[in-house]
This record gives sequence, structure tokens and C-alpha cells, in this order.
Amino acid sequence: MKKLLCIFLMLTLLTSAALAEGHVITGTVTNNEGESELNIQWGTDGFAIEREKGVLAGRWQANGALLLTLSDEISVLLPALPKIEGFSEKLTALLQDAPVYESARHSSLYIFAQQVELSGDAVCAFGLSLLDSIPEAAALAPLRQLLAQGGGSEPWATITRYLPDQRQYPNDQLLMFSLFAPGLPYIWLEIRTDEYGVNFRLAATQETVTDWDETILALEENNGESGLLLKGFTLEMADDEENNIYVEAELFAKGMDLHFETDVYISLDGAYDWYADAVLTDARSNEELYTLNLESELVDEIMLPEIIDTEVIDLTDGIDETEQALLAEFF
Amino acid sequence: MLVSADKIRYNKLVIHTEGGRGMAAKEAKRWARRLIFALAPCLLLCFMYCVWGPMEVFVGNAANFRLQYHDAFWPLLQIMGIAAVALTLIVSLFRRRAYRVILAVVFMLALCSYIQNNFLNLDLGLLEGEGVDWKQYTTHGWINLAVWIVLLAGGIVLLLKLRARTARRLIALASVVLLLVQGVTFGVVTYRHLTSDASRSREESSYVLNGREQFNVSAEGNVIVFLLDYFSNDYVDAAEKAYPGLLTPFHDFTYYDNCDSTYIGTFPSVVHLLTGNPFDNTIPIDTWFDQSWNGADSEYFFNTLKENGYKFNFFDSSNTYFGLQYAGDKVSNIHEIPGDSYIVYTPNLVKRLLRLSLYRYFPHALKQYFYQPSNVFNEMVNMYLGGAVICHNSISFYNLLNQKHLTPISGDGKYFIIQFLRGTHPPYQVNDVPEWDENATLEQCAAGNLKMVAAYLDELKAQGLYDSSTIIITSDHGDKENSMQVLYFIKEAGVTRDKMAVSSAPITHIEFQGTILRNIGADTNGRTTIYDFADGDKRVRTVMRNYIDTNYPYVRKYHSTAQGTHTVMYVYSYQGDRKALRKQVRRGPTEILPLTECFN
Repeated sequence: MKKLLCIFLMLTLLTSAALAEGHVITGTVTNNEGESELNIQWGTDGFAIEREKGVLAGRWQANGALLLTLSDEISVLLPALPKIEGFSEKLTALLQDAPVYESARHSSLYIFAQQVELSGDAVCAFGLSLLDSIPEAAALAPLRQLLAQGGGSEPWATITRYLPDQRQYPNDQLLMFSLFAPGLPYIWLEIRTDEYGVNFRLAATQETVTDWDETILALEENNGESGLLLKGFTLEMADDEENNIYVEAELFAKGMDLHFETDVYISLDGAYDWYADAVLTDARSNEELYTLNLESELVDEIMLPEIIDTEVIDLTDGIDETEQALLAEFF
Repeated sequence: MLVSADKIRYNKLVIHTEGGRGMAAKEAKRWARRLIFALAPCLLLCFMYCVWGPMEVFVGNAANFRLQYHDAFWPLLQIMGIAAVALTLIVSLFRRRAYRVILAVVFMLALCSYIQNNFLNLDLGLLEGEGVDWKQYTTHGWINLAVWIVLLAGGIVLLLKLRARTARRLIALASVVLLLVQGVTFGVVTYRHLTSDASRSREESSYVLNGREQFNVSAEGNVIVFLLDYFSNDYVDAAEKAYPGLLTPFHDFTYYDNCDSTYIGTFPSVVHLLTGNPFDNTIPIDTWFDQSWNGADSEYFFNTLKENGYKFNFFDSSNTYFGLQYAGDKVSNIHEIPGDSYIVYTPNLVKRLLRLSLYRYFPHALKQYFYQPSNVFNEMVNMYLGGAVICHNSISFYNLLNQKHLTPISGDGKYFIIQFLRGTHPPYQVNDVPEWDENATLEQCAAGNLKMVAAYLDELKAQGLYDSSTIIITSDHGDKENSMQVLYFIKEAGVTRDKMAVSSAPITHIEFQGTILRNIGADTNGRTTIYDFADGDKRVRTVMRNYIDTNYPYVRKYHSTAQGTHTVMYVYSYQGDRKALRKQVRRGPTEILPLTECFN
């Protein structure tokens, strides 16, 4: 009976396909289980990922949530992903009134420096401003309440910005954010931008930090048991025909050392067709865990299945409970 | 007994005269006292501005000055003496309150200048002609000026509030102390300089590249290399995009678009290119220069050139980057100048040095009016004596080329020529016309330089020597951050094409000697050439650049007692093209080499 229902629903899905302009993405995914083909229909209304095991379909909702069909019986309503816009700009704005030290030397490139120290209150206020930029921040209400309590006048963080000779490198800057609030992990974020892309390092550790360079080295060389380190860079280069975006990242955490790189080539002819290769490698064993090769083509019509008569599990409320549990763990 | 009238008159005269003599004597005494108390602060101010200021800069950058210590010191000492005497006399002419004010002003000027130089001066970079963007320092300038006003005014007011005698003695004592402190430092620095190799090298002969034959070519055969300074292959692409058809004059050439220079920086790139000797960070620079020019690779290369009838003419105006003192007869146009055999234009030199002093001591807001790049000091010294002529490397090269044209020479053998031009070294001074333009963009400068080279090629064609010539257009290095690879065009003798060929073979300047030898038909003796590599070859290459890594100690600057700028050489190993190199640079160095001595 169940099988008949499945077939009936699948037929319903197939026969009720929505047609719209979008991209058809074809490719392969390879892991230790072998190689499987992917066929993805991607449009502004949603997407459908077809694999050997079945179809995974998703539909964007008006409020940014995602209705994801996991099977012919169950769909999951996921909340909108938080997008923190203008993070760098918000950090940089805090430096607006800071004095500029004009003989600072950080490597051969940077010769100007600005720095501000943020109190607990200032860090909480900054956190609140970040939450304000997230749509549907109601899900983060407990966090908001916590930040609204403030953190006092003790220093909790520093923000430093280095700039080079602006005549020669007008697009370059190095931004560093260091958090050392009581009860929280030590956090270091470094973002270096230039005309070709971004270099980033994000490190977090529970152990007291006196020298971040040494700490980052320890996270790389040890098993990352005491924290995590995410570092990498983006590189963007364009010619007349296509834009090439390369992203490389390495994650050191909990005994893992995962290396990810992806190369995306996007056509500049208006269709924005693209192709990409991505590899996730275990850097310690040098074993390729996943490789992904995709090619996307703009088409007039894509097939997006209608999602009907499935049980919908709403996880948007569930996030509140999870978040509350996490906050209770830390505070 | 009555005194006669005559005697009375005499007595009156005596009283008046003796009274006048007394007054004059007292006034003379007062003047002498004013003179004595004025001497120390006036001497202090004059010592700082006339001697210590300029000489401290000289000693710290001796390698960049084409003159010896005494050439600068003695004239400045004389100026100091005259100025100190004159100032002391002038100050002493003032009396009472005016004297106290003037004395306070002179002393506070000296004190503020001392504080400015020792505590408030910014690192405005090497005075290497790249200019200072003064707009970046506006805030600092205002703050600095405010500090000066407060110190100057406050100091003067304070001194005037004291009793005259106390103020005089305080000023004198403080001036003597500052004179002693600076005098001792001056002595130590002078001693260290005079006993250093920086000073010794100046006493020995200097070597310059003679530009007398810069526009000569051989009627019998030429290998011509253009080194366009700081010219990345990214700049070729950018210039061609901005100026379509820019590369048309080079249609007979092959563009190797995947070439790196191994080293970033004229030093050590050019010497490595010519001699094939990799840079050794563990030895002093002079030792490396010696080993490079006199090593086996160098001996073979230059001897083979000679045996094949070539003489090497190297044209560059900077001279200092190549260790020419070790090149011997390998470079035919090296001109030796004995240690004392040059002309110093002393009045101009003194003016420039005093201006340098003002630049050091004055408040920041005024520095821009006294800024001058260090290369102006080269104009104060004429080393091109005995028939030596300066080499041209920028728009003057182009203008002279148009004016003089090329002269083919017969009976002098074949020529291996290197024309080292300014290229796209910032600040960009040439536009796409090409003409002098200090507001030129990178694309304009790149296009202008390629047009200058194209003009030279036209001259070769006019002389009927283009086809038979092997011509390479490349650079000593690219950008220091993102565009490290260099342009590389080559036209072999006898090669003609309708359209420029392009090769992505992974080549480096390690192939320079081998490629030249191959093209003159000589045995490469095991050296690689650019022809040994093809598109798609997997080759691991390294690019190295000097860097300031604060985890490593600073080292001494070459031919100086001062501290060098860089501490290490970063090594980037990569496989692929310029994009792969860029990725590796972003990942970080694969190796770090601490320096023993820093070139600048």
C-alpha cells in the first residue's frame, strides 16, 4: 500500500512539475562509495536535486524559510538562514574615530594602523547591531536579551586595522578582531582584502591566549583539540569571457584537518553559466573525501516538482529551544 | 688755593671721559656677557641644522651617496662656524628684554627641533623617489604643529618668567648638555662610519656604467635585451586591453606568458640573471657579488660570449645594484673612477644637505616644502669624468633615441646589449604617448614603455639589423604582492611571424644564460633554456622576495652602519602559472630565509 502511495505521490510530483527559467546543473559527486551523477534544477522559486537515491526538492517561502522535501511523506520547514550583512563594514565603522598610527609596521606592506579597545558593553552593543541586520531575528530573541544586559566596562575585544601606502595599494586593508570576554572562548578573526580577494583566519580556543601567532601555529600543528582554526582565501580573476573565483579553506578541529578548494568559472555573457570543481580532502591522510564537478547552463524552463500532501515538520520553533539550550551551556 | 679754569676744564674732561670710558667698559662687559650666554644656544642650533642633521642622514645611507664623508662634512662645518658666529653676534646685539626673548626663541627652536627629530618624526619611507602622499598625514601634521606651538610658546614664556640671570644660565647649561649629548653621538657615529666598509668603499674606486655607446649597435650581430623595471605580465595584459593593437609591433616575437624572475627586486635579480648564481642569504652581499661575477657559471658564460665575438654593453643609470666592482672585464662599458676622482658641486650639495636638515627637524606640516628624493644628490656629484657618460633609462632614453638614432658600428665585434629602463617602477612618470607625465596610470606607463621599445626596434629595422638580431624584452621583477611574474617576449634572429606567438611554458630567468648561449650558437654547457619547456609542463619553480618579518632580527644595511629595512627572504614554491603563484603567495611562504645583510 505504502509503495503504491509512494508511486502515486511520485507521479504527482512528476506530473505537477512547475516550469520556469532557471539553471540546469549537471555533474558528479565522488566519494569512497563511488561516483554518482547529479542533476539539479535550480530556479528562483526553488530547486530539485536528483540523485540515484531519489529527488530532494526545496521551495523558498515568502519569508525566506525553505520547505525541503526529504521523502514522499515528509517535508521540513527550515528557518531563513541568517545573513549578517556588512560585517567588515560594521567592524571598520568602530574604528572611525580611532587615531591613525602612521609608522606602524606589520609585514612589508602595511604602514598605518588604527586600533580600538571595546568594553563589554561595546561588544554587546556591536552584537546587537549584527542581530539587527538579520531578518527574522525573532528566533534569536534569547541571545538578544542576553546582549541587551551589557558586559560592563572591562575590555572584552580589540579591533585593529592596518593599511598600506594607498597610492600603490588603494584596495588593501588588514582587519583583525580579537575577543577575550570572560566565560567565552578566545576568538581571533583576521580578514585581509586586496583587489584580488580575501585572506581570512578564524581561530577559537578555550585556552588563555598571550600570542595569537603561537596559538594559531599550535592549532595547526596539534590536533586542534584545544580549539578550531579556519583559514583560507578567495582569489578572483576575470578576463573578457569569464570570471574565475577560487576559494580555499582549511579547517583544523577535533583532530581533523579538512582541506577544501573550489574553482568556479562564471561566464560573463549575461547567461552566467558556470562550471565548478570542488574537493574536500583529509589533509592529514591526503585522502580525497569528496569531489564535486558541476556544470551549470541557463535554460528557459526547469522542472520543479510540486510538493503536496506531505507531513510538514516546522523546525523554526525548534531553533529557539536549541538555541536556549546552547546559551544555557555557555552562560 | 683756587684751581685754574684750565684744570677745571681738564678735570671735567677727565671726569666726562673717564665716566664715558666707564660706561663703555660696562657696556662692553655686558655685551661680552650677552655674547657668552648666546654662544651655547646659537652653536647648538647651528650644529644641529648645519652638521648633525645632514651628516646623520649621510652616514645612515652612505651607499646611496656618491661622495665621501669629508666632501660633505668640511663645507658644512664651515657653514656651521660662520652661522654660529653670525647668529651669536646678532643675538648679542639685543639688550635687556629683547635679548632674553631672542635667546629663549633660539634655544626653544633648538629644543623643539631636537624633540622632533628624536621622538616625533614619522617613518616616511625610503627617500627613493616614490614621493610622499602628504594628504595621508594631515591629521598628524596638525597635531605635530600644535605640539610645536605649545612647546615653543610655553618654553619661551616660562624662560621669560624666570629671573634673567637664572634663565640665561639655564639656557646655557641646557644647550651645553644637548651639545655634549649630540656631539658624543656624532663622534661615535662618525667613528663607526669612517671605520666601516661603507666609508672604505668610497675611498676605493667607484664603478659606473658608461652610457657613451648606449645608442650604438653592432653592424655584425646583436643580442639585445630590454629589462623594463617592475614590469609584470599582468601589466602587459592590462595595457593591451586599454590600448588594443599595442603588441602589433612585436608580431615577430613569442610572448612567454608564464615567466617568473626568481627574485623580486632589482637586487639580487639582475646579478642572478647575468651570472646564474642563486642568492645566498648566509653571506654578506659583497661576498655574494664576488662569488657571482667570478664563479664558474659566470666565467663560462662571459668567456663564451667573448669567444663568439660578443662584447657586453650594459646600460643602466643606477650602478649600485650590481656589484660592478667585481665584474672585471666582463662588462665592457664599466668605467672606473678612482676614489678621489670626481667633482662635487659643493655649493649645490650644501644647499641640498641643509634642505635635508630642514626636512628632518622642521614640524611635519612644513616638511613637504623641503622634501627631495635621494637621487638628487647624485646630481651633486659628477662621476662621469674621463669620457664617461650617464646612461638614460626613461623618457630621456626615448627622446635621445629619436634625436640621435642608432649608429651601427663595424669592426668592433658583435654586441650583447642590456638596456635597463625604468619600466613601470612606481611612481609612473611616462604616459602612453610616450612623454613625461607624473600623473600617468599603470596602463599608460606600461604602454609608453612598450612604445619606447618598439621605437628602438624601428630604428633597428631602419639600419637593416632587426632581422639578424635576437631580442628579448623582459623585466627584472614584477609586483611585490599579486603580480610577481614578468613579461617575456623573445624574437630569435631570422624569425618572422605575421602574428605574435604565445607560449605558456613555465620558464624563469634561470634560463637566461642558456637561452642567450643557444641563440648565439654556443654550447650551453648543461644550462636549461626556455626551449626546454613546453606548454603544460609540470615544473616546480620558486620565487623569492625580501620581507619585513618582525619575528626575525633586523640586520645591517649594505655599505652602511644603519639598520636595514628587511629581515628575511620569503620563498614561494609553486607549480603552474601566475595564478598558482598568486595562490601560493596567499597561502604564505614555503620557506623563510633570514638575511645576513640587507641591501636597502
